[in-house]
Amino acid sequence: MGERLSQALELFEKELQQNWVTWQVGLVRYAQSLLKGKYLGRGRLPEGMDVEDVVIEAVKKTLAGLKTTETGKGLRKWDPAKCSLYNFLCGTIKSDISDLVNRKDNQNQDLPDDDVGVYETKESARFLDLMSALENEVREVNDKENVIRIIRAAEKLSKMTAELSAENLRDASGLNQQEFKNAKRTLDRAVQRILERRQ
Amino acid sequence: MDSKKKDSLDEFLVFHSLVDPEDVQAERETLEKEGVNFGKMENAIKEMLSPKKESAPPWLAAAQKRKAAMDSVYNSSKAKLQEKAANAKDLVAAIKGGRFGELAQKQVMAHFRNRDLSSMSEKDIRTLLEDCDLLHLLNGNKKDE
Repeated sequence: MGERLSQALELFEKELQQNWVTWQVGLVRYAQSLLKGKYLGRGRLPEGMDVEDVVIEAVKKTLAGLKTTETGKGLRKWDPAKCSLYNFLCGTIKSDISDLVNRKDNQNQDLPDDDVGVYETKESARFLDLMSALENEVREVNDKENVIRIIRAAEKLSKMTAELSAENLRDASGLNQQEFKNAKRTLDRAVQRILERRQ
Repeated sequence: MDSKKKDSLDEFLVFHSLVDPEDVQAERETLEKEGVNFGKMENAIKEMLSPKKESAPPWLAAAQKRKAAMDSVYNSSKAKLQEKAANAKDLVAAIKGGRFGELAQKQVMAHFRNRDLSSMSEKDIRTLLEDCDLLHLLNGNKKDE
């Protein structure tokens, strides 16, 4: 095994051991937002599968990719120099869910007509749609102003094609750490409510 | 738009998924009520990260048994072997010192030239005595003394 792969594998194991308790909650939440928002297709996993299976599979594929220099189906090559492990796992989950919900044998599920269409719009339009829905959702909340500042920051970063990372959003919103933390909690609850309605 | 950049919606959903460590327990409980099985994921990850135990090769047990038997034999006869070796060294040293006559001394000196006496085995001495017929010489010299 190459030294680079071996170092990445060591880092992978270390990061999972340190962060899994927190990450597993986040990864499930991410998978659910894709499914509930129907952002990747018809929004349903094949019968008998759940988000836990998707998350476990993403970790398995990444680990398998780090144990061999070969490339192929079922292997995901994480490069620590290119992105964080958490983001990489999110990417793998997204790709797998997209494959699963759009699989031909999963297309015979009966969905109401109005379910189709949300995911067919362009990604940039879907982002703006979510931002708009969010702004509407937080009209009545106490820290509305801080939440709106995060929404504006997200729109601004998106236009600038800058990454919408937590650090960038905090900087662009001009909120201090505590304000940002509180506003994100409110924002997260609003996102959940929107996704629940779109389920 | 930069083609390499991920789409903003995806990045926003990743940002949304990040849970503050302070809120993990509460968020976990909420998700568990929705039916998410965290135990299943934890077990799977634990399994993936635990080092796999290599199964022992089939010959190892037999080899270990054989070694234990040999060790036992060696340990029980160690004292006797050491005593024999010490006696043999004393004998050769005595011959070299001329105790058994000049002929025996020359034979032993020639035989053990450039050799370390301390590494001498019982077999070495037996070979020496048999090859040089020293037994006869020794017997003869002893009779002379």
